[in-house]
Amino acid sequence: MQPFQFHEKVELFRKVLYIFLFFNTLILLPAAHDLFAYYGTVGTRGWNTELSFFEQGSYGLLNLLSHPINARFEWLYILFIGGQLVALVLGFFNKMPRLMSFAVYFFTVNLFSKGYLAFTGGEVLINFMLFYLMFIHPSRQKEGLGSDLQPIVNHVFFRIMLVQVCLLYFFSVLYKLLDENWVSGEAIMYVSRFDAYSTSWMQSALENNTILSVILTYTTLTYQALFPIVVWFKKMKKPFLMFGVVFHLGIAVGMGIFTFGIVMILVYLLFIDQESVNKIARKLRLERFIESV
Amino acid sequence: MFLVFHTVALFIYAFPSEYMPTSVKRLVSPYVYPIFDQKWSMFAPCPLIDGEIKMVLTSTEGDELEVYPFSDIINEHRVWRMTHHGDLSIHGSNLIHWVSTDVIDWSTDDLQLMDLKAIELNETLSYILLKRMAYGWAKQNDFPLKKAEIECQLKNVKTGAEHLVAYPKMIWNVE
Repeated sequence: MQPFQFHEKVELFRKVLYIFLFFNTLILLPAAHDLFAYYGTVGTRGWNTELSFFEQGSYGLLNLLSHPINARFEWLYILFIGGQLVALVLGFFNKMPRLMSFAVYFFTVNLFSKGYLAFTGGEVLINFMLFYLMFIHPSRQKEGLGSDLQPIVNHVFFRIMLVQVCLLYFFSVLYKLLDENWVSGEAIMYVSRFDAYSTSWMQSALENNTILSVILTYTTLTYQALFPIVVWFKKMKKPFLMFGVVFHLGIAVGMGIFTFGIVMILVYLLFIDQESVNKIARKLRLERFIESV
Repeated sequence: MFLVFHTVALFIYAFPSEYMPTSVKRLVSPYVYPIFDQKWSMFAPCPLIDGEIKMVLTSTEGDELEVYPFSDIINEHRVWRMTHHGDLSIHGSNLIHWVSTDVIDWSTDDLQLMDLKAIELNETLSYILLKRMAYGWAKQNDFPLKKAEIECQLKNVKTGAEHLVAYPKMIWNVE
């Protein structure tokens, strides 16, 4: 089995994702009670009290903040936020990386599940990425620990992450093509009429501009449809992903769907070449944290 | 092999239900759900119903309070990006989405309001979500909640048509 040659890339992605999650949680602190508390305005996801905790299977483990015990101890969500922040910091500095990758996933998935009604596909994608990252680690054979299975596991889960992103784009465009307003090119015009998904400048430019809407709607559809194909061609990939960064910044700032827009940009790190990985790591001054792995 | 299996399972699970037999989806569901639960139908179908939620809350002492829980949040969100207002705005939009899912007749071209008398509104998902929201709002603002009346003013952004949906009174048993 060939050694896993994408460690720097995955570790850069992991570090940047941890930094983003850390600041994202800080940004959400003023709304933490609304989102994560048992009696927050978002409410709970519900809990089937007729089944025991163990009978709930993995669903129970992912929805601990919806368990009725949180009604009595409403502060429990603060432990999850604290736990997530501590795990992110320790994970960033490579302290107990395997345990911390599990802890980051556990706390994050529970927080995001609880606040589901205020979140988007961005949080869902973060959950998946954190899950897959739990399995990607350096081989411990040199330390006399573990078996030579680790490189195989790394290869598999690295590819699963890439496939996951492609599936996201594939289904995103497929569902849109089934809707008449997307096919007619008017979708972005209608979306711009929602106060929650636009700004005043976006509204004035788009809310009655069919031509601009058709251009933007079809640009969106074309980009999303081409992504699962173009991203495997080295020469076309770079300018394509750069366009994608601008596209997702538009979603993050223009539509105000911040987490989704930024997370989509972050996952592009998994698709870029080693040279660009080194360049970005140097620019962000993350080299030493990555090398120490 | 595992990579192929995982990809195929996700593909079947996330595929539009109209084109993938339920029996096939059922085969992969135990593997995919809940850890890899996904659909990716973001903004599809295109959202067409916007709206505003109004709550009239009555306290245990009989005081009344009129609240528009999302208007300030959305106004803040339109000015300040990258703050918690964004997530709270999405909460408001999702509530409107569930309200419209419950009360709009999606089989008609102009998306008319269903006959509300024919619907047990207090058994809908939107009623439950709004009730939780009202209770959470009151708790967070130390308002001793006894009763809530919630109205949603819906607007079709495509046709401009407006509809008012008044939910049945929500009452809490307070000692």
